[in-house]
Order: sequence, then C-alpha cells, then structure tokens
Amino acid sequence: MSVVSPVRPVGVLDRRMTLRELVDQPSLTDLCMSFVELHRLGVKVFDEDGARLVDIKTGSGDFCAYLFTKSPGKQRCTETVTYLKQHPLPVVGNERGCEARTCFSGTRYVMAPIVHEGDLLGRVVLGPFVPEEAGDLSPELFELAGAFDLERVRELQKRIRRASETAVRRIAEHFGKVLEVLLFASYRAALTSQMHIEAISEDYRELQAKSRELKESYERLQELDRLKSNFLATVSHELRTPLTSIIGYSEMLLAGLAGELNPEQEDYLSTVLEKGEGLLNLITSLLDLSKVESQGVKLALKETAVPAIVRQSVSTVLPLATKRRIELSTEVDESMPPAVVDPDKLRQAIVNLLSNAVKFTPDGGKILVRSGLLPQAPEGTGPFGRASRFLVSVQDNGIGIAPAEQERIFETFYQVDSSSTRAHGGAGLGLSLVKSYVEAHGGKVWVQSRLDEGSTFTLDLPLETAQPARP
Amino acid sequence: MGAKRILVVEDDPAILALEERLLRHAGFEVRGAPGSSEALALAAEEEFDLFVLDVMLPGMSGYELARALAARDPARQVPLVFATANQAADGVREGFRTGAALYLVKPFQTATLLSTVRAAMGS
Repeated sequence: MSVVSPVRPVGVLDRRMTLRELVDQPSLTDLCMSFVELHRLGVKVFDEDGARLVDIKTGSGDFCAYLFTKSPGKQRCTETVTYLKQHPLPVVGNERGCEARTCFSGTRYVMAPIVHEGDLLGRVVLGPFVPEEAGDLSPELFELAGAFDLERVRELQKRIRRASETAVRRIAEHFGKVLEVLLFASYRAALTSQMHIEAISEDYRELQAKSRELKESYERLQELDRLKSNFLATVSHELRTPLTSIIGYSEMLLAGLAGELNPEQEDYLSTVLEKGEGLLNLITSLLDLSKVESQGVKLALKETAVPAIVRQSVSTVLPLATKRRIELSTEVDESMPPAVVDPDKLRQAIVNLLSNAVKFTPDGGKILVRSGLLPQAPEGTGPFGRASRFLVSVQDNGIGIAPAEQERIFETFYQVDSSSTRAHGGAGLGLSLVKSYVEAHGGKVWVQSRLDEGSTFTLDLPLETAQPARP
Repeated sequence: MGAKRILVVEDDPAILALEERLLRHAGFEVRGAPGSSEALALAAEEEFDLFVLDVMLPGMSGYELARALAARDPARQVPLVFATANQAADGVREGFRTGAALYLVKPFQTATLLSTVRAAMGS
C-alpha cells in the first residue's frame, strides 16, 4: 500500500541539516581556538561523514610529525586517525557517549558526540594528551625502537600536555555543551534565512502564476480584438456593397441615363442620394473610430504641402456649400514650408471641420479657411529660429456653440442636442476623430464660439511630427 | 479604330449591371462576368484593353484572378482596376503589389469610376 501525498517543495523543517550547514565555520574555529589555549589540548571537529571542519594542534606537532616520517609510524598513525574520524561512538543509555582511544605512541584522545535535536551531526576529538598514569614511552614504541631515536621521542613527548582521562572527558563534555549553544544559535539563524528564502520562493511562484494568468488574458483579449476587427471589416463591407447600388443608381437616374426626370422626381432622388452618402460617411467614421480605439492612430508621415491639403479638403465640400449658397473662402499662406504629417489624416480632419461648418451654417452663410505658420510663438520657435508649428482654422457664421458644450463636443457620439441630428445629420463622430488624429500628431484642436454668431475651430500642429517609437 | 473593350468582373449583379451600364454609356464596349471562371472563359475568346475586377470574389480573389489573366498572355500587359468595398488600407497595398494600375473604393461616384478607368488606360 502506498500513500500518495501532495507534491510540495521540501521545507526547511522537513530536512535534516548537516553540521557544515548549521555552524558558522569562523565562529566554530574561534571557539576551538579558545579551548586549545585554555586547556592546552588539540581540538579536531569532524562531521558525520568524517570530513574535517577544524583541526588545531598544540604541543604535539613535532612529536607526531617525527613518528609519521618512519614507515611503521606512518601506518599506525593513519590507523588511529581513521578510527578517530569514523569509528562509531559507544551507545550510553539512549544516546551516544564519549570514548577514549590510545595511539600506538602512547598518547590518548577523547571523542565526544555532537548532537543537535537528537541527531548525531559529528564528533569533537580532544587530544592528543599523555595520560597521567603513563610511565616512560609506550611499549609499542619500544617494539619499534629500531626505527626511532627514542631519546628524541622522549624529548618531543614532553611538549605534550599530561592530563587525566577523567579531566579530558569532563572538558569534552563541557565543550559539547558550549557547542550545543552555538548550534542552537546558528540553527535559528539558518532557519530564519531559510524561511526567508522559502517565503521569497513562494512569492516568486505566486508572481509567476499571476504573470501567466495575465499573459493568457492578454492573449484572449488580442484574439477578441482580432475577431472584433474582422467583424467590423465584414460589416463595413456588407454595408458598403448595397450602398454602392443605392448611390450609383441614384446618380445614374439623376444624370438622365434612364430618361428625363421631372423636377419632383429629381428632388426625391437627390434626397435618396444625399441620405445614402450620409450613411456612407457614418459607416466610414465608425470603422475609423473603432480602429482608433482598438489600435490607436497609426500615422503614415511624409513631407506634405499643407496649402494643397487645404485646397483638396475645400474642394470636397464645395459642391454641398455651393448648393446651400454658402460662401467658402480661403486665406492660405502659400509660402509656408512643407510639414511632416500624415496627409490623409490631416485632410480628413479638415474635411470633418468643413462638413460641420457647412452643416451648422445657414443657407447663404460664410465659411473662411485659414492656414499658415503659428505667428509670434516664443515657445514654438524651432532650433533655427523659425516657427515650429502651424495652424489650420475653419471659421463659420453659423449657429454657434454654448460655452458649456465647447469641451464635450469632442467626445465620441456627443451632440449638442439630439434634435440637431435630425436637422443636420451625423452621429457625433467627426470631431472625436479630428481630436484623435490631431493629438496623434502631438497637436491640439480647440473651438472659439458664440451662440448665434458662429464658431472657429483651430488645429495647432507641429511642423514636424516625430516618428513614434516602435513599441 | 473601334471602341476600347473592358471586362468587368463583379459578383454583385446590381453593381455589375451598374458598372456595365455606366461604362457602355461612356462609349466603351463592355463584357460583364459574375465570377472568375466566366471571366477566364471570356478572356480566352476576346482581347480586352482593361480589366475591372472586384477584389472579394467567391472562390478565387480578384488578385488571384488578375494573376491568372496575366499568366494567359504575359507579353501583353492589360491595365487593371481593382474595385473593393474594403475600406482598410491593407487591401490597397496588396492590390499594388499585384501590379494593379488603379484602385476604386466602393461606393464610388459615377464620375470617379469613369475617371479611374480612363486613367488606367492612359487616355
């Protein structure tokens, strides 16, 4: 039978930590150094796998080194060290206890366990010391006498501390207690930092999940946007196709291709044609506006002669103005330098302003279009001292706009009053497109107007629109 | 010299009749086709001085039809006018890549149809 547990990262509390991870090596070395100085006993610390963390000798260096130089000594010494590092410590009661080990040289070591939270993490080895009860050199050294100069060995051994094993065991126990405190403090620090790391990892995982969600919803939105664009393009196409016939056949009839029309028939057909064209403008504006809203205004900038654009715009509305006996005049500064703008967007902005002017000016009224560099513009002066902005304004003597309405007319679908829709046509899209196009150029549009006196709409545009940075 | 011959391809019957009528009235000799296969069949029988092609045709698009018509007789380059009800500018660029002479956006004014056709034939 197997128990399936939910997969979760191994936490700091689940994992046993090694001695090396738990202690701060410099602090441990400092501690051992104090012990060595205090007790004149060497200190070695090994982890559970027998790897050495600390090894400080005192007095025994030359003695051991001398014995180590001769082949039998080398072998015996290595045996002792291996035992000290790895031999399992005796079990005393429920836990590991101390053990003494005597080297072939007659010197002795005491091993004590390092325990933390019930886990054996390693051992501390104190020594070598010369046991208090020991007489002359060890019998084993005498057996190897041929290899060593025993007088020299005697001299070197004198430098090693003499101590009772009981005393060293007490010291070892004491050392173990101090180490426990050090481990406790280190463990707390390690635990805290581990928990920080895990908290940060958890935050990171959450963030990753969040950003994945965001990415997915962004992709969904993009897909929706694409569908919306396709839908609009299709609807636009489907509306324009029948309008082609409505407008085309009306024109053909009006041109007399199917025979002479009487004035009444002509009048009716003109209405059909006019309404068809109004519908076409609405469809065009709707698609333009939805494009602006979904993708922003994309400018195709090029050097453009502004006077030519103004003339083309005027000629677009001229037939309608003439029909209404509106006097359409221009004051165009032909000498102005070419501007870097999107000519189609500029033309459409001016045409929209002109269409509105014609719409809201009574029969026989006046419209004046002006264009030229911005006069006296201290802030708008270019690097070579020339004006860096230009203006296009459309002035009419129509019905005017009340001050309270003058901001709102640039909002999409806003109309001064809905009865004006029936009287003048349109859906309140023209000015909001003008605003989008002009602002995309880094320009602005505003209106000055008095009720019953007329309105002046002004476009203020930079002579050189900067290329937008690629996103 | 006979009248210039124009092949008009348009799947909307009302628009096809409108274009045929207007062009004929302007003095051109006009053949109309409601789709690509009829257009290719007519082009196999007669020679034309201009093709007026709807872009959104069922099956083969107007651009593909233009390439197919051009492939029939590569030596003779017949001028093209693409008519489309697509307001988006992307279509215009696609049209020009195909080598279209001119582009006509529907709905068009009758005067615009005639001036575009005349401009495409270079007269």
